[in-house]
Amino acid sequence: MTSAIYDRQIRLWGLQTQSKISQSRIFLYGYHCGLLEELAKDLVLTGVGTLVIGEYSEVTETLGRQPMFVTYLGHDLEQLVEALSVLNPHAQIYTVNTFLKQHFSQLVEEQNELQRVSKLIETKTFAICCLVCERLGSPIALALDRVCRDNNTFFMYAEIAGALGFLILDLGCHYTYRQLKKISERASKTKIRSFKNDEVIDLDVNDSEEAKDDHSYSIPLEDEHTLDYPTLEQVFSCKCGLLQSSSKASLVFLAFVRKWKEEYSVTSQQDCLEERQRKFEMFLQRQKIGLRKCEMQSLYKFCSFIDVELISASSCLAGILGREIVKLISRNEKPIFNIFIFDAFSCLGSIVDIPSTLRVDRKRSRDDEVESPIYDI
Amino acid sequence: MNIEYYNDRYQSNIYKGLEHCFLSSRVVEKIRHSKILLIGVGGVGSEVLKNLVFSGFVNIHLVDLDTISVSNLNRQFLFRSEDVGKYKAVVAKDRITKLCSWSHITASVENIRSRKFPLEFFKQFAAVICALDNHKARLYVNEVCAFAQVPLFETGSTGYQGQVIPILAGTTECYNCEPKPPQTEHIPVCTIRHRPETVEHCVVWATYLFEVLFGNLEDSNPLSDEKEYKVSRLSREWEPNDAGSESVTEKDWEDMTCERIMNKFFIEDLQFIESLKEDTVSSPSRMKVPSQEQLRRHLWNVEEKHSVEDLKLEEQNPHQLVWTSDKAYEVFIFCLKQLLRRWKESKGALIFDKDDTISLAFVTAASTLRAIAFDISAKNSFDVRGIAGRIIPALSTTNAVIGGIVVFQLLRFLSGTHIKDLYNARLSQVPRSRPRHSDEVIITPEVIRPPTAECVICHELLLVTCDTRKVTVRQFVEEGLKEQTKVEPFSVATDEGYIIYESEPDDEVSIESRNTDMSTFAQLQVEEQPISILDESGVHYRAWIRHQCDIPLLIERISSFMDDGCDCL
Repeated sequence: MTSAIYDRQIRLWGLQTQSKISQSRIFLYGYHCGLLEELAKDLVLTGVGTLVIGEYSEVTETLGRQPMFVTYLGHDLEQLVEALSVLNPHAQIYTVNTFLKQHFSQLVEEQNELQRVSKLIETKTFAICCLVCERLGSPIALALDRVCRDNNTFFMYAEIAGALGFLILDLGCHYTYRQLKKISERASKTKIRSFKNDEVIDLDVNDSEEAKDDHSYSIPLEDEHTLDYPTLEQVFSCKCGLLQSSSKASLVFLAFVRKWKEEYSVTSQQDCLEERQRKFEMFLQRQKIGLRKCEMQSLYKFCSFIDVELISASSCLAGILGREIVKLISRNEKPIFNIFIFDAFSCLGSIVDIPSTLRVDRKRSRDDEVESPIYDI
Repeated sequence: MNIEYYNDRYQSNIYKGLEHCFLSSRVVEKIRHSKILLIGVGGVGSEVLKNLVFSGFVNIHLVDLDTISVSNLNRQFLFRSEDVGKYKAVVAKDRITKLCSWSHITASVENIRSRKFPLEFFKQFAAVICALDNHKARLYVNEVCAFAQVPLFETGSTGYQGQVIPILAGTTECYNCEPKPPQTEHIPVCTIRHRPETVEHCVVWATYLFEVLFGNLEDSNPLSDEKEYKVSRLSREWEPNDAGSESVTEKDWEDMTCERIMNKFFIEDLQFIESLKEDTVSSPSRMKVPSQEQLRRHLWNVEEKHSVEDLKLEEQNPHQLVWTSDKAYEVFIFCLKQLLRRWKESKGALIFDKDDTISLAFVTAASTLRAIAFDISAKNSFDVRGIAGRIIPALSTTNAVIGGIVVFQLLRFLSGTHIKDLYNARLSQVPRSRPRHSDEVIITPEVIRPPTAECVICHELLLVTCDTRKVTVRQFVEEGLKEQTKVEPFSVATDEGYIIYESEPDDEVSIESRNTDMSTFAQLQVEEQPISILDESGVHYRAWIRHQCDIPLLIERISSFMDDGCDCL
């Protein structure tokens, strides 16, 4: 029965990956928003074994205004877990509280949220920890990333601001994966795929050649690769001057969104588009960041989206995130290194490589740094 | 919490959000009142439906013919295991209405090509989203939308890849503009019959064999000249004996039929092919043709040691070993007998169903034997199901991305962006580098191109309005095409391949069919569907016949529409 359910994906990634998925344990943490629901839904459908979902409960009290999120599977976490369990009765889905209760009988009650979550990660139960729509600024994200690194847990940070979405991956300084290469079957494989897919869309050759199904019998040649990911802190403290121009604007905007959420949204009573745009300009001035006029124009557009969630954009980002999680579980494909930026307006999903410290240091000796980091706390 | 209160607050939240984003209450009103047609509620379709209602769309019409199957459950989140066998459109409507009580959804379990959807039906929608999985139906939707002048958002997903294409025929490139890759039927007949090169050719041959024996034999079947081996004919051969001497028992009949079929397709045919090869010296590889004795041995040895349960378990295991020739013979005979019994009981044609264990095992065994004979490495039943059933791998994550992009594009379109300023979006598995940029992309925007010059659908559409009960085809040609549009057609044909008008009728054609052009459109039942108007070089125009009592005959040419963009707002 179960293999019949997963037939259409087993044909893509093989039985081995599917069984790895069914044994995987994933921790989702963050704000209960559409992005979190979408991601949880995709993971549960794909057949993830254990999913624990936590919500930063202090959020509503601290935030001045309710952000406009779209949640449809449940009004609160308990309902969400219930709805997800219906989608896949085989998956084990818990809220943080029920999971902790089941696994630690003598838990100290007065621990704060972060300590509790850290404790959870320290059990090394989870291979992947995913922080979704974190609303309180960087301290939580950075602290969580640190805990994850110390415990060899892959950390993924996902943020959506209306039509602009971000993923930042920290998979540690020594992430290895094996890329399967099939030499002998490659020619015929391409044929099969175009034969199978004739009715759907025209494939481009690169994709179909890379596409693998590891359940056939030829012995695959494995190429082992290693990636060295920078930490979240290094990413946030990366100097603007080092950024590639195409992604610079989006990343600067992310920094602004984080700042805005931390300060402006709580304090400011007046909030309108002009006000936000003015604040954005002030932010750029203070950070001594220069952007081109066309870049500014496109970013103004995003200002109106900052605290609104559009389900279509969230669904899209969640899809990409879910796909990356499967890659981390199967370990036979290169994951995003290390930032993914999705711009729903221009249908653009690009991958940006933020250099890790080593390379930053090398560059620093050459550059004369005048610009401040894109994010300073 | 009070659900209704929650729903209300929730709905107003969505609209407040939208207003925030698009900075206009007019756009929000437009979204709230736009009717959307969603064709296909499968993988992409369920994502789109959810995104539509939670983006504020209220009026949505679903069209889907299909029922839910187990293999849908890994991605179509509106369906559960207890829904298997029910209609997708109906279940999707119920589930979404429960999640979102203010939505107003209509569900039709119907083929989109049905006459129940006339052109007027399509015209009521602000946009059509097509989430279908087959080429033919998509071409149809593409064409209807061009006739109805409704913007179409065409989506597709397969495995890790997907795409979204906004289409406004006449203004942007349409689904018909770019030639599509060839279909399976285009494998040359001789490759299937005499020179299989890959295991796919063997599998295709095996499905044709199934059709020859048990199915409705179509002329497109490359084995169609083997009609005498249809089981319905073979069964007749033995019947006279029943009345005569010792009656042939059921078992004897099965055994004899099995032997004949196997002799023919696994010995005689192969020997024939081998004799062909001897003529051409170029092929030195020997074929492995089994001997008569080998076959006999298998035929008489088969105890029923295979069970449907075992075969079922095997077909679900991707790592299952490829069958040896002995096992393939055993399974083939076992399945052949099972199918013969099934055929006898139903007395009707059997249709190959990839989800039926016996049919699948039959095709797997036949393809394995064929592959062994031609020295090709065979596949197990898991893989054969994928090939024979043309299974397209599908992921929830890919569908989520595609469903998200298409609805966002639709929002942009309704908020006033001209369709030419949207993008064709492509999701790829492997990052590609972008020209003139230093980064890599996995979701690639492509600028929407203008229609290709050759595309009939983008340039040559005729909308025919008349009283279809009175206007004959000849009148349409003489008084309509020749007078109003100055077109002198060579012939007029329906999509089913019937020629309803010819300027120089063939003498050999019977009187009856020669007079079809004297019949009215209503008599020929060609209203509300596209027909082809051909000249010497091929299809020159496509026309759509609409019935309206008070108009004698009016032919309008559909030219590029909405070019000024005024209708977009």
